[in-house]
Amino acid sequence: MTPERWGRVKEIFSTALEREPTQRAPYLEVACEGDEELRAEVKSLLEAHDTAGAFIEEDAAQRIGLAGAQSRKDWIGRRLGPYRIVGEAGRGGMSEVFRAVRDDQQYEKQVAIKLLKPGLDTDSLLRRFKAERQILAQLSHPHIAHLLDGGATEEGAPYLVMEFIEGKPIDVYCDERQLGVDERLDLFRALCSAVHYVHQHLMVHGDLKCGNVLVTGQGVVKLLDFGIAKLLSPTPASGQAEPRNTSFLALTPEYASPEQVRGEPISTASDIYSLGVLLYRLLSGALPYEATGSTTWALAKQICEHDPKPPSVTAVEATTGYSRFATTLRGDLDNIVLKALKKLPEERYPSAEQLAEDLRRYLRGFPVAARPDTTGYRVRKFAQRHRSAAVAAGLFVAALIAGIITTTWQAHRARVQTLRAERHLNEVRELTSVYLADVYDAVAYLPGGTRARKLLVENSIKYLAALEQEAHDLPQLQRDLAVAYDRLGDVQGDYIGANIGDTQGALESHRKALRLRRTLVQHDPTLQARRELLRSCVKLSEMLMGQSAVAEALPLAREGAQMADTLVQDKAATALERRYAAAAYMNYGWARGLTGEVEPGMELMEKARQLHERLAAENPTDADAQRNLVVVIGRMGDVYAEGVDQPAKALPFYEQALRLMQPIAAANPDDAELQRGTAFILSSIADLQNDLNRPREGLANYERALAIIKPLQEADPDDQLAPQATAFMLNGRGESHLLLGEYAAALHDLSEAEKILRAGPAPQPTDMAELRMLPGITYANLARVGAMMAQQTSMPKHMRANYVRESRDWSQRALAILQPLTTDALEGRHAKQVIAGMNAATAPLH
Amino acid sequence: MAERAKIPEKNPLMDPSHQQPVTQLLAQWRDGDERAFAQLSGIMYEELRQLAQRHLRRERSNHTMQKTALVNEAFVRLVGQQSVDWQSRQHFVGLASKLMRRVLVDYARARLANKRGGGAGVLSLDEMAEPAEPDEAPSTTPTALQHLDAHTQEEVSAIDQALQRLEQIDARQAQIVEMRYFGGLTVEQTAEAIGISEATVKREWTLARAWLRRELGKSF
Repeated sequence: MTPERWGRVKEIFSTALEREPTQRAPYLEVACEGDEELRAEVKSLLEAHDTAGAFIEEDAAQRIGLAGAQSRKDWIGRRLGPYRIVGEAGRGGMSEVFRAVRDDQQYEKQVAIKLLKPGLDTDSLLRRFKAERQILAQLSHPHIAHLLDGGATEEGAPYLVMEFIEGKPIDVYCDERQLGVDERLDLFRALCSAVHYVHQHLMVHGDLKCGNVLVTGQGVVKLLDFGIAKLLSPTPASGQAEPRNTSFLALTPEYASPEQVRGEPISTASDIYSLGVLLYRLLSGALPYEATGSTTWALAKQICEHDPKPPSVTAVEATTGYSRFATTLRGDLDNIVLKALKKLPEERYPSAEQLAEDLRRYLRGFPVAARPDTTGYRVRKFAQRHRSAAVAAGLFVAALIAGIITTTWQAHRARVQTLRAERHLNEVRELTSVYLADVYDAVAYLPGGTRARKLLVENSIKYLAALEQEAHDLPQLQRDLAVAYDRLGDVQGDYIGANIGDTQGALESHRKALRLRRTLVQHDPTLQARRELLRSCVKLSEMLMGQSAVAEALPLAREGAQMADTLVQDKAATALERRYAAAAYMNYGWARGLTGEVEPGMELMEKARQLHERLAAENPTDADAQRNLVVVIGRMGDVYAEGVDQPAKALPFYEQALRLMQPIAAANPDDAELQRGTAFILSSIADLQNDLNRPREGLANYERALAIIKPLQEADPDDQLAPQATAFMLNGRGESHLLLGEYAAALHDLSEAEKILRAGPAPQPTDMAELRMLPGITYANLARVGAMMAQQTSMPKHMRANYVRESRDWSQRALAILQPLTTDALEGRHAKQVIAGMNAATAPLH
Repeated sequence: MAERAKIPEKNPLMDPSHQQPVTQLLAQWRDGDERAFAQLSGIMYEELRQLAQRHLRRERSNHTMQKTALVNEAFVRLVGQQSVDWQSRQHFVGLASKLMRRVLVDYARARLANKRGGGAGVLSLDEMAEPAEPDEAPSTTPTALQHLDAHTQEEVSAIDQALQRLEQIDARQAQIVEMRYFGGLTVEQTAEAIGISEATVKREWTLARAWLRRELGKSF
């Protein structure tokens, strides 16, 4: 090849590479001017370039393992971006630090360059740096050394550029100058103000330690490496809402909080903990937990499980002249340090400022906020009893406290508005996707899980309420808030499911979600917005139906069904929209059917069934699709059974639902919800069989239902619904016995049911009418059994007299409960029936 | 084994009394002294080979994070803090890259020959490698030598040969590859050593890399 020709190749090749890949072929066509050979040559080189990957990027010596280990000196004089390295400055576990100057500036401002270990993901690190630099640049505080820039060396090692501080680590400074306790506290309080400033700007430091706190020759405290822990933390999956982005690497285990050691989300409270460790070191000469002679794992275990010795005790043991501090430390300072070092984030100081304030109070001789550990015993006891639940709840509280404090700060900080919004989005998403979903589900069936759920709910309400005030002009935040309220409503009291039984709270949450979603649809009626609004309509109306609040429920149900009509016709509608539409049809049909409009109700439900059938057929392996089909068929049965009292018509629906449900439940034995569902269908079938005077079959089905429900109740004693379900089924079984003339057995079951109901919380006016009626029905049945017993001629006279008395007593109790319910929109007729049945049975006693 | 112990730990050239000749030789070579060039090459080749050998040993217990080019290390050792003019430094780095190429190719060939059962008596770096220091924990991880597979050695050898062909087409490109791939220099150092811009180095490197990639086919 002639040099001229090679020159042409070079020129065309280089120019082609600057174009978009798709533009290269057309460019070659033009540039080669019909010279086919030239075109083929460049084309093959471009192809080779595209497939070259890392080919020979690593030099030969490295390839064969001959690369020289570079001494730190060799870096001196080297240029990194606009900086020239002029000297060494220090080193850490993950990095080497150099002194450098800007080459392109007239004056030589010194900076520190932190060269990070190669192998860290340089790309994502720099990406995150870019994302953060705006925030970092806003910060200016006399006690913070700022992060200025970032880049990568030619070898691909990331580096960060920071303000250069000439100083000594705070512990070295204190020891060298043999400072007294008060002087140490003064330095530490300056540090607290820097950390507080960081927290006010919605960031956490994540790697507070003596090595990161320098004191200059003039005695000025400077906090280093702020923002770095976050940059170094693992990358979340791209495109995700980054709900777990807050978990940092525990960069320095000795200073890491328990939550950080566990790799869990950390917050400002974690920095407070690290401040506690630092203060411990400054006052006692040692760290609360030392890594010496033990593995990192052993250290982590200690951090999570063992209480540290008071600093005064450690100071006495120290050989380095700290014993002179011991007397001073005993009492208030011990308490202050130990409060900062609490295992549970919410037990620590709520802010660095408050920690500093407590130290100020100590220095001035005022009483301090930190107290000796009196609640520890109780908390530990609780934690031992409910380990997982307590951990989850603790974490959550920490996250929320950070959030709430944040919210208050923001009122004064318009300039961090966008930041605030983004941050809140992440927080709300974290709340919804992590706490109200994952954590909530994780603790759902643990013993004591219901209590942990309750804690989650209470804190969520506080948090969301604070946030809602800021959401009015931020649609994305409004949307996420609606999702959070929706989820919260489920948690508070789903129609069916393990719940904490706060129906009123659940209604309130769903109403809030509905309100937010209405606004969003008015503002921008996207498919998603309409779908979510439909969801709220359905949920709320369903819950209201459960409360017999027909007047409020029906219009909502109708609105949902109308939206469903337009939704399924939308060209962009997916399976999701069709599922939501089906739910809306079912809901409205059910509501109408139950209120006596059987024909139109059944028509709507048939529409729902067809949609669900198609969805289930499209996804034969999707348990949810199958489950939905079961639900709609069951609800069709409800209309006949409860709406118009035609048990014979209802029975085939329930039987079909059972046939569909059994294989799903069998395939998912760990899904309590499915097991519970099966039990409910069985008991509905049994109810009808009793009504149809087929008590033998009814009895058998109650037995099967009880066999499923009892283990569930034992697994979560706090679940309110489980005992009620048991009582419901025992009452039914008693009724079967009653119908069969097995009075002793009937009495046994009914007494058992009555005992459970009496032990549980009294039914609230807001509970489902069905549940409110249950004690009444049970007493009515008892009254009937008593009447039967009293008529047993084989029984001694005084015993019969006893039963007469008891029966009267029971029927009075029954009436007291049932009489008010006779006006209930849904259950009124049923209540009247029960009363009539009871009166007929007890009539012979009068 | 007994032979190895005799290899002097300290390079006599490190002795300050020996440093004078290198800078002097560099100057003489710059002025066109062929003998100085031959002498310098000998010294530098030996220096690079010994450095490489030492690094093979160090690899096992290497806790340092940053890697440096042996060429630069050799410069520090042979010229040290003495002032040399930029031209001499350019010459040195260029020559060192060329010599490093020879060290590496010789090494790769020797390894390949050994592997194939031939090459008895061929002196190679790892034959000279000393056993691990007694205070070193017995290494359970394979050493760099064991990592070294025939594939890598063949690659080094094949690139050397392809590079000879590239020299015919574009000498400067070949020199850039030599400095970067064999000399282990950065773009910046290469630009400085040749006296061209970094952008040009990058552009030439990209094409040379594609060319070599194509020449070597899919086997590497």
